[in-house]
Amino acid sequence: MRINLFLVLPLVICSGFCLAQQTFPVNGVHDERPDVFAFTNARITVAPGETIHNGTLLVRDGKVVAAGQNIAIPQAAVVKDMHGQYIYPSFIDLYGFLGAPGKNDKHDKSSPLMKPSHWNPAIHPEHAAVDHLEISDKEREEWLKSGFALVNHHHRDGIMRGTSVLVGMGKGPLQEQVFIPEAALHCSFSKGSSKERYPSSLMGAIALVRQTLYDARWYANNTGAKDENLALEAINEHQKLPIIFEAGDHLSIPRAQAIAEEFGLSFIIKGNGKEYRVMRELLSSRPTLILPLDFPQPYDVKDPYEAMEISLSDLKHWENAPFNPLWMEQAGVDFVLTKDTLKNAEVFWKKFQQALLAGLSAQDALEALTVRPAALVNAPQLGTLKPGQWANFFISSESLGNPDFTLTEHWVKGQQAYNGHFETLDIRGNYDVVLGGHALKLKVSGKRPKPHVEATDLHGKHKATLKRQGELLSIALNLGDSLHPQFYLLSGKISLKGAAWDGNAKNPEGQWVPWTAIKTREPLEPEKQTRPDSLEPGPVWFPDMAYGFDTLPTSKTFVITNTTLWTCADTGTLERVDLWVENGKIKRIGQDILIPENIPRINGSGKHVTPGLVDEHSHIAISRGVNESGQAVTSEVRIGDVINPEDINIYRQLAGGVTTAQLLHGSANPIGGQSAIVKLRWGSNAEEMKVKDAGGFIKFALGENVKRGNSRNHGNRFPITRMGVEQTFADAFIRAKEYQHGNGPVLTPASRRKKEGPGNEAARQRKDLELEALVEILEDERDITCHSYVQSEMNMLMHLADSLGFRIRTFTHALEGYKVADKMQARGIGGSTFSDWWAYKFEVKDAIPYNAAIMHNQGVTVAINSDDAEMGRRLNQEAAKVVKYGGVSEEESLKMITVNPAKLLGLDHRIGSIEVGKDADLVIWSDHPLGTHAIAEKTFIEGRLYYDRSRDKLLQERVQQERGRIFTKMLQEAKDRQKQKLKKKQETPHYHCDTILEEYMP
Amino acid sequence: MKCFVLIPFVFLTALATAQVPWPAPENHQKILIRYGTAHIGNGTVVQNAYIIIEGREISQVLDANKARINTQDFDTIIEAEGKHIYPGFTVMDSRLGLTEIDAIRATHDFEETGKFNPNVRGITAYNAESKIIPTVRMNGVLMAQIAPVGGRVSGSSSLVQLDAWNWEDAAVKTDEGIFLNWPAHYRQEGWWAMMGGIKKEEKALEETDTVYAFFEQAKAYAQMNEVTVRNLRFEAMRGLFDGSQRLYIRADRAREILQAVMFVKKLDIKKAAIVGGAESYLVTNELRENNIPVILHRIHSLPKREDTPIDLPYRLPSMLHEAGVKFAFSTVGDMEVMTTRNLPFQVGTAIAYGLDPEVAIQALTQVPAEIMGLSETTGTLEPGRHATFFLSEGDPLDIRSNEVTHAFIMGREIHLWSHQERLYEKYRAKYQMK
Repeated sequence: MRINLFLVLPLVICSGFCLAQQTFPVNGVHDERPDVFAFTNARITVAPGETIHNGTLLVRDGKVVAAGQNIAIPQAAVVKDMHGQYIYPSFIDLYGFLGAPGKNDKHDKSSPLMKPSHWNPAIHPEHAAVDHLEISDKEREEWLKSGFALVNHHHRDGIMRGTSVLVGMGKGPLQEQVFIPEAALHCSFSKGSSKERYPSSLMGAIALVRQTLYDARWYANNTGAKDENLALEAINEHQKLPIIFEAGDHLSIPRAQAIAEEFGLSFIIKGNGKEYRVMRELLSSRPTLILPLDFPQPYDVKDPYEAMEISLSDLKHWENAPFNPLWMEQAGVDFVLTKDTLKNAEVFWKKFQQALLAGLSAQDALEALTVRPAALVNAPQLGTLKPGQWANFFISSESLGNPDFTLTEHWVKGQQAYNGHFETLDIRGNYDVVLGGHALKLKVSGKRPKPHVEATDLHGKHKATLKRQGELLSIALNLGDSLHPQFYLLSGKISLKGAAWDGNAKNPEGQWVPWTAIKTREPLEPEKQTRPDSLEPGPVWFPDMAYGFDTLPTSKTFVITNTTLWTCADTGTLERVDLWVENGKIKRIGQDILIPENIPRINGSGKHVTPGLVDEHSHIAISRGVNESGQAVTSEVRIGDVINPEDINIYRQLAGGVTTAQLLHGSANPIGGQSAIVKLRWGSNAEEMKVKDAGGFIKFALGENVKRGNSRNHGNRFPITRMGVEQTFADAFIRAKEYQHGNGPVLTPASRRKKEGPGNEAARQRKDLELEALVEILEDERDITCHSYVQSEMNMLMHLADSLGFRIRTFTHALEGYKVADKMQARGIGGSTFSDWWAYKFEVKDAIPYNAAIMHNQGVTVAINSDDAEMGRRLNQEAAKVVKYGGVSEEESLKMITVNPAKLLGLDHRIGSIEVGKDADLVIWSDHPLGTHAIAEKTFIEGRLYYDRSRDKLLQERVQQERGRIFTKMLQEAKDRQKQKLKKKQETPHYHCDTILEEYMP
Repeated sequence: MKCFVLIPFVFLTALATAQVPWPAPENHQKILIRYGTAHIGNGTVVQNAYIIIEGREISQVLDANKARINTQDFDTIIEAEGKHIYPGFTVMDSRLGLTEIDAIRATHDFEETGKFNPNVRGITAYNAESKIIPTVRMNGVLMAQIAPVGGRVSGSSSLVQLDAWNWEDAAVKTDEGIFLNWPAHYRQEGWWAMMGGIKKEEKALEETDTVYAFFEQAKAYAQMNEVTVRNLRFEAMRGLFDGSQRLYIRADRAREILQAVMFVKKLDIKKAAIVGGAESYLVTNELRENNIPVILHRIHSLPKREDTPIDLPYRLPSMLHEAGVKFAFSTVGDMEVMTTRNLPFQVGTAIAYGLDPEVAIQALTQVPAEIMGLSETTGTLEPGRHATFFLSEGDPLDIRSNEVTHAFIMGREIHLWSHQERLYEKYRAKYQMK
């Protein structure tokens, strides 16, 4: 039971190593030993940057007594001559995992120690890894061989995972190896084995973390009427612990950091090795990171067709991954290193070496593996070899960073935990051998632990293998050739401190013959380097993938001259005009305007210029789940939390002239999540993409998707009919109204926020993120975009809105909008629709390509949207269909992809039309913008050139050149490395509305 | 001139009766279409043309600047001055009439269960009265190759014209080809909304062996003088070995296409085509040398990979043309049936990216006819071919100017409205719109 451990463990730690045994019964005679060790003649790194040459390390009762020169060695000490070997403080892995082979890191749901706590099984902060501790000898040895004496282990399952245990890798009972029973609280965005549907998306996981933290605060401050909640209690209890947050990928580091800032917490964030790709965010928010060393292996690129499956982004990461720790160090970002996912010691040291080859100093690497992690888990007695510290250290033949580095011994709590049986006597060199009647020469070379042996006599070279165990040697020697083997099997001993060997051998005839070997020459130093002594990084682009920028575009002053300008404003379409852009805004428009000579000109003659296109309904650039389908009402989730600035579709849509998009939650549930309105600033980060002064928006949905008529496993989530959909909305808004009023008088939005903000501990009412968003709707601070198809459901929501007092901004899709256009117009509801989609489900059987025209004719503000990454590349063609099918004028049709969606997003004061003072979001087209032959040649956002067709041609070439360059490098390196199976990174999925994500993580 | 009188009448009747237009009656007239620009479909254009229709066929196409005709000889004369005339467009590898609503399984008749189904015939499930068909014709698509999907061998394809009472009337050529899905070398992991990595198909080689084994047996069967035990599957494939049927192989990656080409050569399959062919531009020599055309998937598609040039799907037709590889078009993909009416605009996009406009027209008309072995019957505006064509106010491959005013299928002038225009009418009436 956990409670017992708590009683015992503080005792264990306070009273030290040996005394801890006092409570243990002894079978037989007591065996208390002096346990004093002196390691002499060693090069001791007491702490990073603090080295003693030819020093002595004195250890007693598991702790360092002294480290230095001229240390008096007590009589009780066992003296170990280190022969100039190196001693380093042991590594600490804050993100280790202990689990016997074959047992994965899945949470054991059947564990009797799982407590009934939070409603969501992914939230179990009360769980303590120390309760389930198990270590196999094999994994312990791998840790020790890798230099780690301390592993901070937690159960890698769920979103709030509970506490980790900092456990030593020493021998002896586990009870003696628990250094800190609850070292840190662990969280992630991955729900793990939980069978609960919610959260089904990353944004849902973020919302759940936030809600739970709010709940914990509320719980702490409302000691009165409440149910016992073990999870919330545990969170509050663990507030003093460091919080380690597994972000999952580099883009999620800022996401985790935002939560930390919201709650005034500081997280230690576990990354994925691509942190250099979010350097700008790291520099502004400065979290502490746990960086993996699992740099990718080279890919197999021998077949050029097959190699096409590997993206340039992955190739570039292969090249730059080893530089990640160095670049963090150079930028002053705090980090520690982890062995996580590296399967054994050999691989770990290879990767460690790679990080050093990339330029990270051995001292920085050592810090990131010793003192820094010790400080992060508040363990002042760990991390160095200063007096009073736990005597955790490893011994090596060479210094850290030396290619021949071999870890020879590892001591934990002053006891030898691992012995690599390293032979201090170096037998490499040349020998003259007399074997029976034969005289031959032997050359022993190569790596010190496993040297290579070659014999030569009058007949030439012969194969030989050598085995060594301490001072004993055995050599198998073939003095014949492969066709006529003549094996001599030698056994003997090393004598005269390595100067001579001697012993007996069996000759091929089976007779014993004596042999001797006399060393004639010491080994040649240094061994020839087979590897480069440094690595070269490649360029890092924004984003770091195909078509990324070398440097982000800057706002330019320029004039587009003598062009046809589709203003999408009252001025209509202007011929032969000049357009002057300055400071990201439109400065002047007109014919023959006076423009200073020094301003660059773009010849717009024969071209058409339109406002940047606005897509009211898009699902691109969203990380790990467009739908939070776990519940019917999920107004707490925010697309703004999960913007993915590395989606290639951003660039592709810029090439179609789109500059602004509303990134919408999917339509899996009646009340979906909050939208993000972004400008497609390719190369910028998620925050920079957001339109800062955009109002709040939220996605609602009706019809087949929300009643899950097309779902493979629709289950029993209410609602499954349009009748139920109505009730879902009614219930949600009635609850929101009650919440809005709370226990006291109606508060203004501002004062309510102040009262319930995260800083206000006195708040009586539990902050409910779901209802907050609905209250914002009721208070006109958040607008609704509602996915809808048939007239009956649209009619229903309009009635509900009227009766409950909220406003619908836009019916999106609205394919039967033409049937209720009059009702929409009367309420000022816009229609954002497809030009000609139909027949893809039953509810669109009455969809007609005249829908936009009829709604427009009835005075509805109409937009044509994409909902589809492919269609978003050619919205101009879709607008042209409104002319073709409904006879709407070309200017009005173009407005349906510019100023009309801008109006529906409440941004027409800034974007959507070309007028003086508005954002210089512009597209230069090769031809009439509604023509099928029109190509967007240049796309500007606020005067910055984000897409340029002529530049794109160069980028296409650059992609091929970079691929070729990296292939060459990879093939070169793959020679002395095992090749990696073709494995591609996660492709950015393309969502549209019908996407229902059941799971976003394994 | 009679047709001008007819049309308003037709409209009224339609309003009163059906939601879907009815097939036009057999043509017994001699019709002259004069002074339009005739895009023959073989790459040539007659600027000022007389096109003469007799019964089901085009009897003459003349240069109006040179030829003399007697207008008295004609029952109907259509004035086409300023208009453009094209052979009816053909969509390849289509599920038109095999499904009505994508999300409703009960309306799906395009994918049979089982692995080797060469005997399954797309034509038998073709619903000539699908509501989608009229919406497709009005933009110039008048014929479709109806092909099943799924399994390793999906079944046989047939060419239909899009104005018929039933599939029997609709069929222009039945079972003209067999569709084979070449084993893919890689697989997109995860599911479509949340893709995982690209994984190597470890069983691709094994799968390829089963394809060889099946076709080798089919070939041996086809060579038997006397069949004692009939095998429906192999019976359906006889035409592949005597050149009367074409083998359509769905393959996208360069190495898969290469394998498919080698397969065709090894089995001595006389006529083949690659369907999809996303990477066909990498293996154009093999395709050209072996006279294998490519049925391209929809031009309006996303580049296959992150690194793929963003305009590659748009440029692919012109790249193939420059390399001397023949191609035709399909609309394969999401909502592929509904979007058949956008086929002309997809091809129009390829023109913006370098495809010659008349080559584009050829790929929509003559090339499909050739591929299906009908070059003497249909696909161009040449004497003796089916009078299957349409008139447009402007370039039909540009949304701005695609305005089909008349369309004929085998001499019959068809209706150019669908239930969608009826709904338009209905709600214009509701709002008293003009």
